[in-house]
Amino acid sequence: MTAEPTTEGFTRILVATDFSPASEGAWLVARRLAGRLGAEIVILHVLVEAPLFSEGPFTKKHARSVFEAARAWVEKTLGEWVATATTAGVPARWTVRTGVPYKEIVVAAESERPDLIVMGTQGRGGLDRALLGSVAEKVIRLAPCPVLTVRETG
Amino acid sequence: MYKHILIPTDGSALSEVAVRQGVALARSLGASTTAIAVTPTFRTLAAEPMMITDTAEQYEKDCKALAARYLGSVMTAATAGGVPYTGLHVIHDSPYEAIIEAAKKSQCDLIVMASHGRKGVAALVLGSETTKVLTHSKIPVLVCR
Repeated sequence: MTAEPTTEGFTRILVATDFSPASEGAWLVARRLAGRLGAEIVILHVLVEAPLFSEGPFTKKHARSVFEAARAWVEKTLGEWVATATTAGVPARWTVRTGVPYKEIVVAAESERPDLIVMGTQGRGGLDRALLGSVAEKVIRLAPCPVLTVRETG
Repeated sequence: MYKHILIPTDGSALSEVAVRQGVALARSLGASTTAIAVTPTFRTLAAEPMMITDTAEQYEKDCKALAARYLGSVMTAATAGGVPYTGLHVIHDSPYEAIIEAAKKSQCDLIVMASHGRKGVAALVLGSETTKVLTHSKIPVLVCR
């Protein structure tokens, strides 16, 4: 089967990760899809710098060091993911943004112009149904492109 | 990768976008497609004007014709792309349940659907059926808009 490019083909896939089990599934799906479709992957993580409790004039420096440590870990991990994909012959790069996750994912999609966003979702039914009012649902509503949501178990 | 893609359609302009995208993806992945159109069951006390004026037989016939038209456009796209195609017309009051059941029964591994269908008015609101599919589906869902 040859994957010839079509006008509606996917040449760039944005995968948003928060390192949850569901988003690891999204990463796997993105890698396999990109491999099959000959697409490039952009991995995005959004850092949430929530104000820490007891953050004040004396602890600000400490809070900063926590954020910096988080950022360093994220950059190192994403670097490894990119290496995995590139080794497998899938062009990939990463980007990190800071802010409210769903907004930053939409902003990233507007600037990167991917043909597809892949992301994980908790997607609960039953009593927890209201919880799908999550990041994924907001991204689907606001994103300029199709969104593929992947379950933890998928 | 995905081998069997389920494409729900209600004949709306947006679901045509999902049809195109779903078929294109199936073509690139070498997957087959199943399209599904869901129409509500006949009721004597009904919201659909078609049901009030029609007999159950006539209503069923009209629904079949409508579904055949919706599915026809998927078949055309699939055939043009050389993608294996199956059409399903399901009579069910709850489209999302019918969609999820069909995905299970046909062993689909991906659902490609529009962000909203006929009932969707505002572009910023996710369609009710799409939201329900997203909430209840165990398999991945690709939402087009």
